[in-house]
Amino acid sequence: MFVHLNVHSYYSFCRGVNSIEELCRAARDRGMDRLALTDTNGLYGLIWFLQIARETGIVPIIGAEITVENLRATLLVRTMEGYRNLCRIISLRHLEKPFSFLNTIVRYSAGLIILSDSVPLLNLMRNDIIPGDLYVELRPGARRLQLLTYAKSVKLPAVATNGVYFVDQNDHALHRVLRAIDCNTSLSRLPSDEIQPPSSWLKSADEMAVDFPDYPEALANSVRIADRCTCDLNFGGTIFPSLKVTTGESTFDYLKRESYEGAIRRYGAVTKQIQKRMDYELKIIKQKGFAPYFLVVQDIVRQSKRTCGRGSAAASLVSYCLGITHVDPIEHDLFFERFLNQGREDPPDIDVDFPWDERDEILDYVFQKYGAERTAMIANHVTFKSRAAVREIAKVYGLPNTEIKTVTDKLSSFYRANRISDIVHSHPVYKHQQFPEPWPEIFELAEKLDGHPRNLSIHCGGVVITPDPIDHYVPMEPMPKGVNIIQWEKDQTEEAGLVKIDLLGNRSLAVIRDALANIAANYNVEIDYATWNPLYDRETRRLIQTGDTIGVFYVESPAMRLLQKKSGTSDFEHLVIHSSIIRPAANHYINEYLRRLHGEPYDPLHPLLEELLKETYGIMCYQEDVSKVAIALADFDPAEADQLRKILSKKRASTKIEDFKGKFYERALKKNIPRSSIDKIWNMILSFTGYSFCKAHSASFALVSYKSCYLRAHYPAEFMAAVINNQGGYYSTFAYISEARRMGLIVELPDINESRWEYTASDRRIRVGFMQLKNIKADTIDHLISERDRNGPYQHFHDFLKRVDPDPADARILIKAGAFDWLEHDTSRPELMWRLLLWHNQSTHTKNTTLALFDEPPPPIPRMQNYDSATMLEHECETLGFLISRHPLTLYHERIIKMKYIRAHDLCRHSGEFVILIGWLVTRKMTRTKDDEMMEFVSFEDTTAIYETVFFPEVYNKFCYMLTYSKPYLIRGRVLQEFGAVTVQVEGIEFL
Amino acid sequence: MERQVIHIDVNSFAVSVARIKDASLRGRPLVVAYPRMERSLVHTASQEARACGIRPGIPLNVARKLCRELMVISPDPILYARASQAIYTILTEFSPIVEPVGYGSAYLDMTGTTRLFGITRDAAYKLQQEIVSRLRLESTAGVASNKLVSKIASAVIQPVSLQNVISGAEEKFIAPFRVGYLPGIDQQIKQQLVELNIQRIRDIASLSLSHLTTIFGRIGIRLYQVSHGIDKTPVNPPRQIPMLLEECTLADDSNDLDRLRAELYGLIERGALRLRLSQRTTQKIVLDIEYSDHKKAYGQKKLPRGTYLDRELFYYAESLMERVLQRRTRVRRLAVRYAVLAPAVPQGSLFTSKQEQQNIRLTDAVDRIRLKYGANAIRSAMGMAASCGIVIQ
Repeated sequence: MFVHLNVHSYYSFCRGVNSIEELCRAARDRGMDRLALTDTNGLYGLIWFLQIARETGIVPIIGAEITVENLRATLLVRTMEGYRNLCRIISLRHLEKPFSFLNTIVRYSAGLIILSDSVPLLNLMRNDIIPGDLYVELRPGARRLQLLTYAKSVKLPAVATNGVYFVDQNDHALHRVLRAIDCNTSLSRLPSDEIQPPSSWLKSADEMAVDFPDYPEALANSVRIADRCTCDLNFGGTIFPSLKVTTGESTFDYLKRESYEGAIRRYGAVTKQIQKRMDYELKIIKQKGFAPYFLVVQDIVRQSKRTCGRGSAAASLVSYCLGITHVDPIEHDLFFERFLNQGREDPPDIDVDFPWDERDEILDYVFQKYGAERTAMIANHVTFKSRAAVREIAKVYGLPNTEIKTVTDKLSSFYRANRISDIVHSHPVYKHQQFPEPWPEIFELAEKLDGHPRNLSIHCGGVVITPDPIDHYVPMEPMPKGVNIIQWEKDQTEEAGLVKIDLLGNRSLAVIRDALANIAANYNVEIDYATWNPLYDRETRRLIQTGDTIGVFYVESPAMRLLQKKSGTSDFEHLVIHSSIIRPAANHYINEYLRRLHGEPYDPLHPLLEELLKETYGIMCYQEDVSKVAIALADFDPAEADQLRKILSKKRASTKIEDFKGKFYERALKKNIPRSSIDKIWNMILSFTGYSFCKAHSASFALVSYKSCYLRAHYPAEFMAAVINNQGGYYSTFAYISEARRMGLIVELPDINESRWEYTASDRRIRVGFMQLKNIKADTIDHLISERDRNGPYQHFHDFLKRVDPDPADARILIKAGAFDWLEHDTSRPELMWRLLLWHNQSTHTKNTTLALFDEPPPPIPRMQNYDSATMLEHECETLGFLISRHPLTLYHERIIKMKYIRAHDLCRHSGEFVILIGWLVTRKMTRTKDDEMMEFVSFEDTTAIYETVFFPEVYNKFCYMLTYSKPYLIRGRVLQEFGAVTVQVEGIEFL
Repeated sequence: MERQVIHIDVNSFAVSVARIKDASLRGRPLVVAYPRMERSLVHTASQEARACGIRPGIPLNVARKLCRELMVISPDPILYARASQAIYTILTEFSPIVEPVGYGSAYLDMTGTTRLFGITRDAAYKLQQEIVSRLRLESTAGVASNKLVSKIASAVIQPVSLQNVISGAEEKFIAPFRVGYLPGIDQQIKQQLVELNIQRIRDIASLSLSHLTTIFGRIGIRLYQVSHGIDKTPVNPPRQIPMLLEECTLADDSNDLDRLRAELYGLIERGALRLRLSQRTTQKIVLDIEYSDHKKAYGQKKLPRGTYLDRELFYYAESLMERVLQRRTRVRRLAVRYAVLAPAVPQGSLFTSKQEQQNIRLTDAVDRIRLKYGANAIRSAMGMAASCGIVIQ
């Protein structure tokens, strides 16, 4: 008998070849009932290993292989204490520089069994480790006999392992490729100590016996060790962060008091209805022991004035009263059960958005307050997808980047790698492409690399806070950014019972903050973010209703704006529906929704669901609808239903969905529901795969949408400036500037005495900020602004030179951008250039007085003509990135007036007609038809309005190569009107 | 005596030469560029390509968008060197002082050749005719009293092919052209001029010397001179450095180290044989590598003593290749240059070890077999794997 005690999965990054599933299945097929997983320096896949092993009928043994340079030791967990020690050792291995291998292992060896084949290490350890916990590790090969002799001489027991890195012998090729990717080299130059021998596959017990004919004891020892390593991971339930209450009350009492105080702030008084709901929520919170968790989140949220509690937490009155969320759950019918219920076993998660530029400070606060030992961020496991897989392997084969790109550029990053051969041989974009050697080999290997973890990165906002040091639960690693992360990604973290808090960066909150500050400064108007209610403001609602919402949070994409326009609704409840239904997988339900919204009668999916889905016109819209439907139709219990909802949004799930489908059909059929109805409903449930929102989340978002829309309606200049300053909106700065111009705002070029770093606004004017200048040093700008703030505006050009002493390269950019045009309106820009060069030469001359060139006074400055207007526009593009003083289409005025075309803001009067339009590309979104053909939605604008067009596959194939953001177009197409919104179905385009 | 300088420039040299070699390239839009290099730029464009708006210096992918039927060929330095050599031979028949400037372009100092070839303008015409009749290459020529003006003249005269600037008219001739045409002025200075709205050569000429020196320092003096058509630099004939070159382009690119070693060995075998046949030794080897994406790398090794022995050379060349080969991208071309050549002194037995003497005797024997039975009658096992055979020249 034999048990594999040294096994690596693909979580030994770029070393192991197979997934945990493949290893467990192979182990079972080869007659084993136990298996250790000992990935290199990590427990990256531990939770999945425990689950999968159980599912495949294998008893898991927890462990890891620690390596430092050429020393290595395999550590196997015997007890929970051993597990904690292993986590600690791994953390130190990653965090401590230099890492002292020996001291650490000896110090934390309790509860572990240690195997090693490094003689220096064994020599040092054997006196300090309890006899029986240290083994000499024998692997087949030349060193085996030498090690065996050594073991006998020092009287240490020996154990056989095979250092497994792959399941089957022929996977060695992929192992070598992975090593070459990791070492950044080619196959022929891969150093031999970087690769494992070809025999490192998962051999059966009999095959292992052949390798150890002379020492069966080593095989028997593997079983003895396995018998002792029976520790199962158990943290004793959910692990919450803890918070010390200074008032002396219990955490729950404190929470209760805070909640009621908050209720009075929010509602003025506590009505019966409020009290009933509050008591109910508090009861469950108390039962589940969640009180400290709420208080920790509240503590974090208090660090910023403007936050948006998102996710299911917004359904809770307690979070509303604590100020974690801002949507009134009672007024908007948000159900607490979606957030917390008695049947639910896993912890809830509260996600909070912060202004993106404040998030790092918030994280610093959290790390400081709760201690770097007890706080860490969650990891992302970055995996190979088709593009990266092909690219990395092709590089190992030495292909040049351009050749690699001819393949990878056309691979969507969403393709799974396991379909590559299929895609490159059948997809139309590869129609004319040949794939000579070594491409077929590359594709074959890339398919096997699909889903392989490649490295860790930081999750965008997930933080874990634990009551004891984190490495009692999971190992930590440092990240270049300076924070530590745990080795698990969010799903494993959750499965393990660690509670995570998502602290996310949100651009729109910063937009609102900046706009409010600007408004306060300009008009002395203070708006209190927490109590501000723009839901019933007429002008705001008008913009929402017409989809006139570029720049507005979550409602600015072309798809969302069209949906708003088509729906013609302006109220909060419908916006909540819309921000939920817009998810990608639910596309074709949108039109059905719109028809019903506009009064078309419909039959409910099933009478049982009529009442349930009434609010959303019989269409499943929110995440929780999945569980509700499962309960109502197929008698799922709440916990099961909740699981179904969660599985739809999880990665490692495809197998389980099938289980649920079976269950769903079986039970629904039992209730005599016709199969056709079940099919329909199940398909709708599947449209929640990937991401979808719950109602509370959508409501939270919608509230932010209203707030930012209010600003757009009443303080357009301040709002648009803030949108541009915070970047990262759906559109480019260019598009926001043209929108601003269409809104009737005046956009002014940078000015040396008026501009600040960011865009500024007042009185329907937007002043371009210095941030827009390309290639200028930020230091120069900071210096010129602070000097101006300190000593007043610059009096003339020379005053600027004298006070700022700029790098001439920066000063030239300022001149070309026209920053001195107002200050020096009598002087041409070339003359300023001359003065600049003169000043620069003279000042360097005074610095090196040995140069004799300037002993005489300089001749008078020659009269210089200003640049012609074309050059000025060229300079504007060069220094600012695009034309700001006018729309680029106005440059084509001469040509345009000779044409017969429709202006975009008149489009709705030409419904159904064939028209010609002028257009400048604003944004584009590629998508696929049901038959997997490419098509594209493209937004164009002329000087009057922005308009949406669609390029169906045939037209797309003909014209897609012409689409660019830098040229004017003539667009021919048919105007389609649907529910009052206009789109153009393009038939052809040409350059103007 | 008044100076007379011709600047001669073969039109779209790379394209023209390629078309001579391959007639199927004629009459089609054609550019020379590295098709597999990232962000590849167009080196040369044919007239047909220019008609589509393609200019040298624009990115290849942009050029492809401008003209969908565009043909792209890779630069072929060996071909260009041969063609340049052929042109150079013709030029030296007209003047002893010829200064080649890159491929297909040169200055000729014609001062004092009137009795031989007539006035310089006629000589230039004859020269162009000669190049056409012997090489089938069209060219433009500028004739003037100095290099500066002759260069501008040949650059601005399309579609005429010969421009003669009579003595005394230099300044007037160049005045209307853009400052970009001025040769030998740094790009940065040209940009500064344009930023000062000094667009044309006459705009520079209108400024005083003190204006120019105040702004541009010493370069101001040069600007002052060139803007007035003054250029005193002489026509400098090139210095010749003796060197041997062996190179090979792999049939299929490879990053397999064993394969590359074999190719390298082949190059050393060939080069060493040439050295021995010409009774010379080398004391410096230079290795050039061109990768699949046309990026290049090179390194050199000074040898402790002059040698012509295969093994000794390969010993140094191999470690040189280890050093130069830094990327994992496939290699498409290897070249070894043998420099610091010296006459081989018969290596007497006094200072050589026994092993070395054996080595020399072995090499002698191999060479005798080759001379008698053909270059590839005997090969070393390692050289057999190389893609190119040995040639006795």
